[in-house]
Amino acid sequence: MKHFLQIIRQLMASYLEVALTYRLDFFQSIFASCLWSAFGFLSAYLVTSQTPSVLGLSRADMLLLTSTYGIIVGTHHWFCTRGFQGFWEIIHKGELEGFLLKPFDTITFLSLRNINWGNAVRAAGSVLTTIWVIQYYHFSVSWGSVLLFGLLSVPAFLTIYSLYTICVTFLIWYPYLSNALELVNSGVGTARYPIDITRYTPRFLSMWFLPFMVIVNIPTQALVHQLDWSTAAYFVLFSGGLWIFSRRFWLYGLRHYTGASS
Amino acid sequence: MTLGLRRHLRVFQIRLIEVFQFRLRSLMWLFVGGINTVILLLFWWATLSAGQPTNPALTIPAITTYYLLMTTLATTTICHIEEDIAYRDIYKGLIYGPLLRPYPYLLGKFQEEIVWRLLEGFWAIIILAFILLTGFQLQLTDSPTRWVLTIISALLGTLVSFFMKSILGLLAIWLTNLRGIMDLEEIFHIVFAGFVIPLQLLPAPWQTLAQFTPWAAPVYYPVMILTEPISTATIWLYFGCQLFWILTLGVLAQVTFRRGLRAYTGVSQ
Repeated sequence: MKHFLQIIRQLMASYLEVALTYRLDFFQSIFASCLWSAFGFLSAYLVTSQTPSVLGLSRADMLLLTSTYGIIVGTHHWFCTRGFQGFWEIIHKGELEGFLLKPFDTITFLSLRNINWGNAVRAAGSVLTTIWVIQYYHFSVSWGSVLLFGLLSVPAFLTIYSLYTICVTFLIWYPYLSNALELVNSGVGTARYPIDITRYTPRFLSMWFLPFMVIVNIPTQALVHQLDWSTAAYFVLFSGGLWIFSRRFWLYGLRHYTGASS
Repeated sequence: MTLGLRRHLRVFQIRLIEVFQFRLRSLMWLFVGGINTVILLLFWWATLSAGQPTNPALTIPAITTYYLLMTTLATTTICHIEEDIAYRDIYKGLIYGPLLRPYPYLLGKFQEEIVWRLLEGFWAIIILAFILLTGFQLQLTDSPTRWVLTIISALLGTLVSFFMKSILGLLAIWLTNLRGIMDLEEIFHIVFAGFVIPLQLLPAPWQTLAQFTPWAAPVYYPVMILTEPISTATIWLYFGCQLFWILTLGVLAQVTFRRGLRAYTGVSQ
């Protein structure tokens, strides 16, 4: 574990140096991530402008969901999303062998290969926005619920990570379908919508969005004391199960990797 | 058939062969766009089933028709040439190949994009037909004239989108990294094309502004002509706006391309 943390610290330091070297790219990245955050709030504002409450949720609840989305998904974008996005090119050019030979878990290393410091600003900004929303709209929050939110954000992060891992494993067979990652990205984008949608809509359609919606909804419910323990337990089990499945699927996929010269 | 026309058709045929190698990739792009629409559709279904909207125009059949048509038309009329021009041609320096060929660069890009649009439109129509087979009735106009006007509007909208995205991509000659600007454009596109909520439901000053932006031209205008009982004067206003944007952006795209060629230094210099 110590070795693992040392490598992550080293990677973070290296990519921070890269970000500060290519400063314009770094500032553009901050600008872009702030824009998407602002878009989340704008969407929440626009959709709540047409109806007094959405599935029993007020505008304040929607804004809280949007800001916690920024924390959880923003953290994944900070550490892993860019690394996953470059994966198809590695497969396509047959460069995976180089990574397989390194004395470190391949998928972890690949996912951390391009840490995006621009999104650190987004995640930090979302923390501040969440505090503001809680104070402005007088949400009932305790230190215990904040701790629970933090703890449940770990399986939420793992769920996103597992979905990306499953997707990049498919790229071993179909490297040209690199836009499949955009599909996962769009799916994760639906996490900012209230999970109660699934109760009022056809199950055959809404069930596809459920794995994405739990990512943000469950930790947010914990934050405002609306989560029961059984749902929390199911969420942790689901996340752990998905993570184990994604690891096994990745190892299975590796057996089918042929390299560029085969 | 004249030699010139035959040359264009041959190039178009080559584009068809190139693009048809990526059939599944185009289907994937349709799903990417579809996810955002389906979640909004589910959101409105749930909201309208569970509560009272402040706007009486918001009904389940109306909003479903709106989002289904928006998705179908968006895949057919909204071009995505900007990343191709910015990253593949300019950033990686592959623009030399097309420039050395005796064929206009932007026209070649347009042909390539048209094939992508036709392919994605084909997938979208298949999915729409499947939805209609389940028994859902779209709220569409029954006037044949409106259908013809919708098709013309969609064609003009495609040109608006192509010129706008070409200019955006060509900016990479000066700016190299366009990520921030592309994200900004994407957000404007989602809001001002009417993907979050229909433009007529936006707050008052934004409603008028959004309807005259180039983002509304490729999708929102054709959908309005096909679904809403708008007056003939409004339809002519939409056509006027589309022609204005085609002329303005078309000239701007040519100017940007010519100036850009002089400023372009390539990756190795």
